[in-house]
Amino acid sequence: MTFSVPNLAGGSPGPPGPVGPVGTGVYGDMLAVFVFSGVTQAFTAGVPQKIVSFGTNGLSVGVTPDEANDRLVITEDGDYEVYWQQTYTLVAGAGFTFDFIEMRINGTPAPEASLTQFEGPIAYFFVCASAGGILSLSAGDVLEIYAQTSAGATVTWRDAQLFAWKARS
Amino acid sequence: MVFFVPDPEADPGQAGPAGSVGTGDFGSVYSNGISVLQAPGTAFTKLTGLFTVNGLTAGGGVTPNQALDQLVINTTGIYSLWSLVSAKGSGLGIFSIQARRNGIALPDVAGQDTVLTQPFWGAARGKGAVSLTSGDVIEVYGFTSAVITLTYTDAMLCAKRLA
Repeated sequence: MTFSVPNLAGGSPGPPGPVGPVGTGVYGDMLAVFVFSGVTQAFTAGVPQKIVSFGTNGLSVGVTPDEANDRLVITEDGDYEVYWQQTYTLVAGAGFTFDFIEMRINGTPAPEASLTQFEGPIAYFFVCASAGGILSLSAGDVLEIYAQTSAGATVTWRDAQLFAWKARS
Repeated sequence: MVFFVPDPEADPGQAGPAGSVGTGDFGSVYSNGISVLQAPGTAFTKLTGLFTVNGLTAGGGVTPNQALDQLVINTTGIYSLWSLVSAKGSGLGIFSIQARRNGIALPDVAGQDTVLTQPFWGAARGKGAVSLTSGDVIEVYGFTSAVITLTYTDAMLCAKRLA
């Protein structure tokens, strides 16, 4: 029979444990990549419309991408770095411009991440519009991209991304 | 019968807690729907009148100063830097922008686009990770391939510390 005797004096504390894993980020994105065909959308002059270019929900944690409704939904309060990009070509219309291509939060324009008076395409030319900024957002906020043209026009959305990444709780 | 006694010296501590999103460390300036004219010429010059609003800040690492079209870095570190300038041109030209640190080029944050009169308005933009030091002043420089006048319509400059 063997007895192990407790060290009643107690040992010194063990060494510190390893550094914890990187925090779980909060982010979400949507994207659509079309090589030769994409979503076509018609605009009426002076009428704002939500851009309906998205086709895939990207990676996400804590932000809900909803490509079916072309939007991101925030589920945690905080400050977020946001970014969007739209690449488009002309289907119909000539000499028009976009009065704006803007991010909207719950339908309200966010000037931090919006463009005014942006380029309308002509045949065979691709145009890329993008914007981004840092916004204070709340759980339940809905992020969408809206646009308005100076004249009736139809464009094809070729590539699109919409991204939100939490920068501060 | 065998008794085992824990030996604290042999037992490492528990792993530390997972990291969190953190308190953030960022600052920005921007404008939306402006109409500011500048003819920057065919060599890099500081773009002025770009920004009308000091954006969100947190952490004290970045001080936005829209009046001087610049961000001032207060905390040394690696930053994600993003800039965009949207413009129309009085004639055809290639519009180039480049973020600069104390007047020195940051080629990681640069971009070009073609500009012309309506409807050929464009935006030059760039984004990259750069090492910045406390006291650094970040500004946007630009030039055009031909001598034309630009009308700026929107602009953004954001710095967010990564490490």
